Amino acid sequence: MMQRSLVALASSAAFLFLSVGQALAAGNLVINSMHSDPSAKKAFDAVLEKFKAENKDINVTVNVIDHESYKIQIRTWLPNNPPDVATWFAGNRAKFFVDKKLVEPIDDVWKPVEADFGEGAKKAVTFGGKKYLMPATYYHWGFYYRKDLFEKAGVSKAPATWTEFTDAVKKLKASGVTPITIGTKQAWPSAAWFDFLDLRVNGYDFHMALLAGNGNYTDPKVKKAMGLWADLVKDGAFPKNAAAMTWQEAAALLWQGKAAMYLMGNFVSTEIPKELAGKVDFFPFPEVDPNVPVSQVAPTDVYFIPAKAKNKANAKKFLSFMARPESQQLYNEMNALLSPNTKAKSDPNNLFLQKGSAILGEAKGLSQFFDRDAEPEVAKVGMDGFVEFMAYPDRLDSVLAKMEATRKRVHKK
Amino acid sequence: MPQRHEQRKAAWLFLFPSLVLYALYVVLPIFFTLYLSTTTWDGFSARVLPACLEFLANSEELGTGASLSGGSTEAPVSCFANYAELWNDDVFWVALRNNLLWLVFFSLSAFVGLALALFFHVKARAASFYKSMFFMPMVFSLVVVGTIWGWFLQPEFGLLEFLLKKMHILGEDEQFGLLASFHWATAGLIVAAAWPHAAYCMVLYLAGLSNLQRNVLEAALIDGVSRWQLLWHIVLPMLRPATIVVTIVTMIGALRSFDLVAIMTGGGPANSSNVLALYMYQQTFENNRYGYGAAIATVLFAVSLLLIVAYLRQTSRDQN
Repeated sequence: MMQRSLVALASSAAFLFLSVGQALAAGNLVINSMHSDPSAKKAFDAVLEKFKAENKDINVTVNVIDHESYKIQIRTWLPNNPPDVATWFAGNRAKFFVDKKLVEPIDDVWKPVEADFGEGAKKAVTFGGKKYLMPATYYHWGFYYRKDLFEKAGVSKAPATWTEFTDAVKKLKASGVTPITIGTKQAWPSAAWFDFLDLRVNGYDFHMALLAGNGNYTDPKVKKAMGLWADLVKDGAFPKNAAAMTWQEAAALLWQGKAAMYLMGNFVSTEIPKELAGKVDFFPFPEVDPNVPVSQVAPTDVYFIPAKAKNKANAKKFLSFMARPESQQLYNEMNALLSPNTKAKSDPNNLFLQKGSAILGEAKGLSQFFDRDAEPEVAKVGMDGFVEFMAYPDRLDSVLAKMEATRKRVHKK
Repeated sequence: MPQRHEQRKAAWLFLFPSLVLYALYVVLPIFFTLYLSTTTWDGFSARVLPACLEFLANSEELGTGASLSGGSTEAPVSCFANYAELWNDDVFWVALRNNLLWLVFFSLSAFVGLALALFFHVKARAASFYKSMFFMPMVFSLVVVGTIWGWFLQPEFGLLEFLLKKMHILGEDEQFGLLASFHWATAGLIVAAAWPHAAYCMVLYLAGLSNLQRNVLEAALIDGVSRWQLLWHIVLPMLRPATIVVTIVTMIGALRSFDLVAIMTGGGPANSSNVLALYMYQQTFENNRYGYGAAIATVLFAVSLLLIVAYLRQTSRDQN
């Protein structure tokens, strides 16, 4: 017995000595990352090499965990034994942890780089007046459309207002194509319509409060936004069997020329077939109410420092490094994504990245997408509701009532 | 006598390892699920208490663990709150209804299997070739079956769509959107599921058929019974053991349907083709509601148990 505890004492003393020694000599930095797909990993390694070259005294450890597991596991390690830096999403998903005081404010890291970032990006990382997150990468959503089909239908320019948009839809319909393609076999593509219409009709603050659980889904304002969508559905703007198509199958309708436009995230632009080069273009979701400042949907990935991190000084060094335009450019170039730092350049030959970068930089607010901004349960009921609504637009009231009932139960108010 | 005792001891000894595993991986989880169904566990918080006892935890501990789970400090709730919520959950009732639809229509594949078995129970040269053709879908994983049928039924580019148009059953502007239909999606799923299952039933019946007592059949034929009488009064009763197995695997197959639904429709459109097993998965692992998921699992378990016990009792009574 005695012997065993002596051994334990000796080994823990040795461990203590070793770890103290290491801390003195080098200084550690532990990073947990959820970006596990090969291209993201490769890009991250490239950026990390640069950081290491600048900070030879810091001993960096990176734990890459696959996306889905990460989302589950973070809730156990973040309160107990967090790393020094972790990746996460901006917006409400982060607010959940900020409210629990698990995230370190980083206003000092932000101060020197503040001018480099757009309004929308800054809003998405600020909670109660303090900045907590460093955005590393984002991408834009909007309409991908066939220029040739628009011309054939007599639509000379991309619609900028809702009147122009509905006019274009009518002309396209008359020309014999499905005006707007969508596939809701997985329900999420429908949520983009809700996000954009609510943002355009009721504005960023209303939309974000609603999704955070502080609004009412049965509010007449919400109904007004949904009404515009209902009109499109009733006019036959969407494919009849959207509910049986995946988002890729819906994209195929666009490539085949059976449909004229598609509200999607920029990842769809990497799927454009070579023979359509030059025929597919992008326009942002049109303005509905000129009095509502324009905001965009831009799912943003961020880095943050857990409140209980052990090496906060090193973590801040890393975040400052990641905020630089060169670092963001290097990382995002390799992934065909956009850099929240507006001084970072995106591929000048990529029309979609150029247009996206412009609209996100100007945006007055960036939402993160319905299923990131709302609680998972509300999001599920909502997205199933949108699919039902797209098949039966007359059921709008019952769909909104279901969402409201779920919101009440989840948010307890 | 002592020898008999020894034998019995040996039997238990040999059974012991598998009994331990069975208890650990089957029996225990059943009771744990029952317990979970009384909680609002989110899968993360360290302490799992039934909902009606949660106020105990909240009064003594306000650490990060409890606050992360979103533990409320409200008045005590019923331990059966999950079941009460199920009662008012439309999706639950739709899923239960769909499970019962599965039960009824999925069993038709057993008749197809029987018909195929009777048809192929001949000593023709090509029979084994055709038999193996029909058996093929049984070899595929259900994921593959679901993907194939998903493509086949796809409303824009699907093969069925193409064929129906070629045969002018469907007009040029019409579409056969089976899986997009709020009323018929489940039908599409059951047809897809019946494809491999009919093959499975066929094999079970073929095995049964090869065990028939030839002399009885021959005696009956000599006595001059018709083919239908032979089938109804002699072959089918002799196939009883196979029928019992087929019925049970069909019932279980219908009740635990999950993979095909997840792949072909994901329960959609808007939950109209959801089934209990998939809904349980979605609530548990997508919404992090382990307690609610466990309540759905408990209902599914009760339904299965009830049906299967009732059936087994009925058959054993018939045999006596």
